Amino acid sequence: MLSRRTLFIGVGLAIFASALMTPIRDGRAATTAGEFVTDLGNKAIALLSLKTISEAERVKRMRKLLADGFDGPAISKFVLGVYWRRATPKQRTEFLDLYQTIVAHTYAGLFKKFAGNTFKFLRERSDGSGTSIVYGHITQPDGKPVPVEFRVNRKSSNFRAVDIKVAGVSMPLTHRKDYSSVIRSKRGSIEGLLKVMRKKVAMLEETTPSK
Amino acid sequence: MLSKISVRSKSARRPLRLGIMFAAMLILVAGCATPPKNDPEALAEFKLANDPIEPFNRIMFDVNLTLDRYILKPVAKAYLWAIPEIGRDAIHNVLVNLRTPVVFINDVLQGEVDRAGETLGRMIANTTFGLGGLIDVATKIGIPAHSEDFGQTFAVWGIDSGPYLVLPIIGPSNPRDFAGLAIEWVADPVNIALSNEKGLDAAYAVTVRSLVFGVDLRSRNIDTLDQIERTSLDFYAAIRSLHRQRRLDEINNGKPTAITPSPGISISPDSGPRGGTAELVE
Repeated sequence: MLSRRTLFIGVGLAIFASALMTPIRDGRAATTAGEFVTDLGNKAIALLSLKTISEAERVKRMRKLLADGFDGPAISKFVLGVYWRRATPKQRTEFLDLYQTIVAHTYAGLFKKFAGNTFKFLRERSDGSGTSIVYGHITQPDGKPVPVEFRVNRKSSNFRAVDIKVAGVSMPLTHRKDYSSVIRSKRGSIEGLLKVMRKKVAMLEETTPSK
Repeated sequence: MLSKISVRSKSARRPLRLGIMFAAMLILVAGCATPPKNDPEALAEFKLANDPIEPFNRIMFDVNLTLDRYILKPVAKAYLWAIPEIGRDAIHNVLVNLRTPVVFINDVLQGEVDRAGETLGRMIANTTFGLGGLIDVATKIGIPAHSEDFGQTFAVWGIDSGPYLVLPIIGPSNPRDFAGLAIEWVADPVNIALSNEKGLDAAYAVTVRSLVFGVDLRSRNIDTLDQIERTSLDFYAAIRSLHRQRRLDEINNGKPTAITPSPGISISPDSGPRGGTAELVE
């Protein structure tokens, strides 16, 4: 467990750094994974937690944010796991599209509750091969801060998140378990999974169209 | 007096025995999950799921969902409607405060001296200045709550969770956590104190406490669970994974673990099922 002092120092440094960073970084693209995640987190909260926008608009914004900030193909590969290899290129493309729609619906709903919250960067760790882990908090106006962890890949000057964990729960890992269970129940058929996904997307889009 | 006690404990044991018999029958009828044959990759996934009695668990999960749909969720919704937030927060604070002795015991059993001190400080501050726990004074002065239980302590001691287990009413668990829960039922100092209180029906007080605990917990998760049910493909599998990840995070006291599978590090799709060893930590 982090000692409270380290935590205080961490939070203090983060506040100091963000105060220092904002004016200098005005209009400049993120140069570290930490900056990238801070931008992404704040943008997500600002764009999605507005109470005045419609549900459909919220899902649309989430879709855009996912496309811009996350590495869809890498996450899809992980979610399909061992079954990715068995999928045809056409199936992979369709999977990515359906998956992004489902994730947009899932997170748009969850973000509604984040009004008034802020994202606070704590620290980042790099493994030297272009992947960094960024630790932060979603601070709520009342109550405990929620720990958030991003895994970010860097390709040339572009950052893309490949994993997000909130309070220890990883979104892609949960989906991997959920989806592989469906594939197993369909005796390993990717087409079987896609059928279930099409049905789910149709159901979600019926109430809140995002396309 | 003695005979009265023994009669009561016998009658209290009867539903439990019936429950165990019913569960055993269900397992026999539902059978065990059959490992996929002739497919090493599917077999690896099957082993990672660590859910050998999945057919039974799915039945229990559906039973719990039905109970939730018709009883717990409507009650939780009524609770949200009838009691203003300030009242619900006070009730929640009292419930959290009543659990501090159990949390303290487990902090100590895990050798977490700092956290044990925090728990003790919280208990004292909230019971006195917080008017018996109604107000969470401790959080306001910088000692936020954390939770511990005997299942987590067993995990810290290196005891394996065993396979996934969906318990009636209680929900997702495993043999280790279920054992922890059983110990908490009998060893919770608050429940023991209640049962020693004269003129109070202890069983009644403990039941009320458990019911309020359930309603409070459910009322706090309505939106999130609805959202997961609506957007997941296999709600059962999604909850199984979410529950395990949350438990692991609780056991580690929120510390990031070194290896958890994620798109960045593990299992490139061509590495085959053995690439998934990192996932065993889930």
